[in-house]
Amino acid sequence: MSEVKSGHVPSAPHGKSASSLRTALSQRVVVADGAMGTMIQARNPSMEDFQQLEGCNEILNVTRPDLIADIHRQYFQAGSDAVETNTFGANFANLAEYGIESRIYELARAGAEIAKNVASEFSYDKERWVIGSIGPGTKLPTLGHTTYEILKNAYREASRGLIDGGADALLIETTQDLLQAKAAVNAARIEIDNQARDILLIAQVTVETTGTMLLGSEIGAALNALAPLRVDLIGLNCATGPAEMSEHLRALSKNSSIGISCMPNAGLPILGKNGAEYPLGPQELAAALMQYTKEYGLNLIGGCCGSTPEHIAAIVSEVKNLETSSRKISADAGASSLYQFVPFRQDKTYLAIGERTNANGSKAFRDALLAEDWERCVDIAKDQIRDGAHMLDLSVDYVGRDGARDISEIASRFATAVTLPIVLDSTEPGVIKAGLEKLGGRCVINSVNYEDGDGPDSRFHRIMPLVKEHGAAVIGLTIDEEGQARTTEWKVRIAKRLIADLNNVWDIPTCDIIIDCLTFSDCYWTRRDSTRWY
Amino acid sequence: MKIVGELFGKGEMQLPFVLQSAEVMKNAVALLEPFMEKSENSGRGKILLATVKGDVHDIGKNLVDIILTNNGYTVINIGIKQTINQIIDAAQEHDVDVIGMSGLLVKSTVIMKENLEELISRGLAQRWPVILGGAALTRTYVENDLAQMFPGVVRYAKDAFEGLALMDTLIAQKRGENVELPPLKQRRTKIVTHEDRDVDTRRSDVSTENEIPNPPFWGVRTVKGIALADYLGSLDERALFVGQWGLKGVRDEYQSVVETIGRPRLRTLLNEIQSNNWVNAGVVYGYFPCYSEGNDLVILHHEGPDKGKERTRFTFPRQSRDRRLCISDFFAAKTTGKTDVVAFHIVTMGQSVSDATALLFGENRYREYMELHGLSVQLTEALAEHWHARIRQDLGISKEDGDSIEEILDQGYQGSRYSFGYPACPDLEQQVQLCELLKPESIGVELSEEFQLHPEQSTSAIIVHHPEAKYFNAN
Repeated sequence: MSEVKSGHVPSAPHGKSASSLRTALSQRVVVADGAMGTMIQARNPSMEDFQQLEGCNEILNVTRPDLIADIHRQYFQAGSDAVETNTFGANFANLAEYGIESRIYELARAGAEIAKNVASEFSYDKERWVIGSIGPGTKLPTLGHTTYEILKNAYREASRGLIDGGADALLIETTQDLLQAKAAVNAARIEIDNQARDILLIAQVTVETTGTMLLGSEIGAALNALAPLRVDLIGLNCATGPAEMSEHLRALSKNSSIGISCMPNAGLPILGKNGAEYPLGPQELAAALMQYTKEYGLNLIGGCCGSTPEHIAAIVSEVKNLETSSRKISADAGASSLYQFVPFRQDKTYLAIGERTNANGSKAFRDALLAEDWERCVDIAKDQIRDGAHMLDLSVDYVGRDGARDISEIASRFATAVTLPIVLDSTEPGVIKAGLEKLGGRCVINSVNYEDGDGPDSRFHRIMPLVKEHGAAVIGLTIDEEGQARTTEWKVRIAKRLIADLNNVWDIPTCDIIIDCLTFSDCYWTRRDSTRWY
Repeated sequence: MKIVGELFGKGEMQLPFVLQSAEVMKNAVALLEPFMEKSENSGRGKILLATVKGDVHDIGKNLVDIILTNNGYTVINIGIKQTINQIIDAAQEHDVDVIGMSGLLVKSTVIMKENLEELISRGLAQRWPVILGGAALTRTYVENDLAQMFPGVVRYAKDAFEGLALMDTLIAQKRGENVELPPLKQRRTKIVTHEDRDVDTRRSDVSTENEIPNPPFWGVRTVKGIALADYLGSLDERALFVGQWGLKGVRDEYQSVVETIGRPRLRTLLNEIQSNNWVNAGVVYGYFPCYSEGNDLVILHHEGPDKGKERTRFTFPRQSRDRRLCISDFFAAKTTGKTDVVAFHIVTMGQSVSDATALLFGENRYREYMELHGLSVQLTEALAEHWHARIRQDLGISKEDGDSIEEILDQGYQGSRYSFGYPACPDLEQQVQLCELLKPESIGVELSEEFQLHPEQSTSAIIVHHPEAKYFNAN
């Protein structure tokens, strides 16, 4: 069942006073800038400028700060409230291609400093801000090109550089893989939390002309996976013009409890004699963004490929500080796979969690696991889909085996071959961590309880940081220090304690808590009667 | 396969399993072939199969191909949109014994008649027996009307197994065996022919008091990437399971077939569709100012220097009896001075799903091929239904919407959605104007010379808000 709430840019985190950018975003639509890459190309930097690393735009932050500053100036002159730093490629994959992955921090920081200086020049008539750009890189962890861990560490470098250079917000943009987006968002979140000042975190995904992200994620899955990571705005950029974004913005507008941003290309590129040309003129792009801002309640707008200072000038004059109001949303709680969102509350039935992909619940699965027949494991998962499961419980806990390795093997395969969200089921924090780092969607963690109390060394305390980091939902079992609750009062008492703890200590909203009352189920593979959904 | 065919004929085996049997047969024969002796005249007989000119539907023809091939016949399958010249050329080149023509469209029944006339005029009527099949054909049309005009043999096959039985008899006859084709079915009733008369453009009694809604915008919007879950709720399961997948059963038996075969396969396929990116859903839709003039719906420019002037027009047929309905009657007449609003849409599952079905057929995965094809057709319908609901919301006329998908599929809502090629607006050529308005190239859909939408998993509609608008037959 949907709950009617309002969607808006969140207030500043506890203990920090709201930055002027946050205040502005909550009151009116803020206009960012347009394309950077084409502006650089037009200035034709020399090979010396590139330090012989042709096409590595981020190098220009140290060799030609004047050139980059000049581009920022053009956008501020056009009326941009904020510019994006020239740091799109200051990440692991891009810089590694030039063999300079050690310079992430340096180039990110230099980029932010240039933008900050130019922003100060222009702050005489209205406040101007710097948005630190964090691009995706070329390696997609869901496809096994790299790992979540490697990406996260590199994104931390970039985030720290941007923050130290003075960025007012960090923008994870052009993401194609939800797992990559998570790595970037979580890295940025850690660095932002380390600061005393209020820095906004924005996550933008790229939805292709097919209507999904490159790896097939629907916008609902992206929202469900990324919003719980405490981002302030979620949005779309690149790949298409505004027309193709409409439906996805509509979905965000109806379901996102956080702010919304939109930075389209100037239309779908048309291949002409001079390469790709973007068909939308300044007025057309401005009209579309104006319409969406009003219709969908956008908070931050700008342009991506093919947009120029002329486009930005047209957008600025069209929206003229248009006020944003909070949206009415219907927020369904649920989980997601890489592909799709699945609500906890099903319309006409109970939520069925397939339990056959559980080494303790299915002999077939255990045998496949012991034989390391990973394809057979995938087939068992597909059988569960055929039989109507809505989510899949995945457990590889088996004495004597390396659970983290097993779950990595299986979760990475399930991630792409199975369209259902995964309930990661383990008593071992290390196994849960390994699973979470392979799954781009939003998982459910099964489970926490008070078996060994709630002290700092308890399983409860070791699992919950993982739940928090990955924005997962969580199943709480009615077990406490005395054992498994056997009476109604006992069960209710533990359930209340679980919910209060998860709410207050861990800031998990009640809608993301599932209480398993541990009654014996009357049906082997579902939790039909043993579970209440909150 | 003979037993499989008999079981299917008696309704004791479901179509998906027939195809699965065919897959097994195909694989088994492939394994055994190297060890089998080649007979002198290789194969039992040869048939040419084609979907006729102007028709892109090939699932039925391909199922016939599968069944005949599995029964030892050599099938020359030359594909879709085949002209009679191409059919004759291929028949001569391969020296076939029989010609089989297929087509889903009503128009294809006329093409088949023309094709037979061409065979007659070329003196080839006795050369090949002809088997016809397809959704719009009827047995009496083929075995009465066509058989009367065609001096050679022409027969109707309601499904692949009837085609097989006919083929068995025809080839046996050719070998000189003394077997007879089943008798031709005779029509019992006489056809009443209408003489041409002046076009009736008098308005019917459709109310003119209805409220005209305000659309949220004028002109066209393109929508890509609608979440599968959004329109899956509009899927007509019965049309999928019974109509497309050929699942059968009465009452409780049907329910059990749905539970044990239909839905499990549906879920499996949906997982494959999503994880392989097989569908690429797209919609172009728009709202246009309009008025009616006689049987015409006149579309006006909504912007620019010609705003308010005529942009294009659609002409719809009027019933010659009953209420004398015509689609244009559901819109305010020009003479009232009012401007009405009409919505159009074109929806598609994208070329990707056509490619995926072709791939499965090529890999001899017959069951999945048939199931994916059927599902993609019904998903196209589901998306059209879903988008119609969106348009009703946009227009503020969704109050009357039924609560369940069953009610919606039974037109439990205000207004109606008429697809071109169906009884209320049978004329496919009117899609030219529709495509000029909507420019469906933006979702990868185009109109062929024969006024068919490509890819096949696409459909168009005119969406009418008038409360009295419901399906009707204009003939």
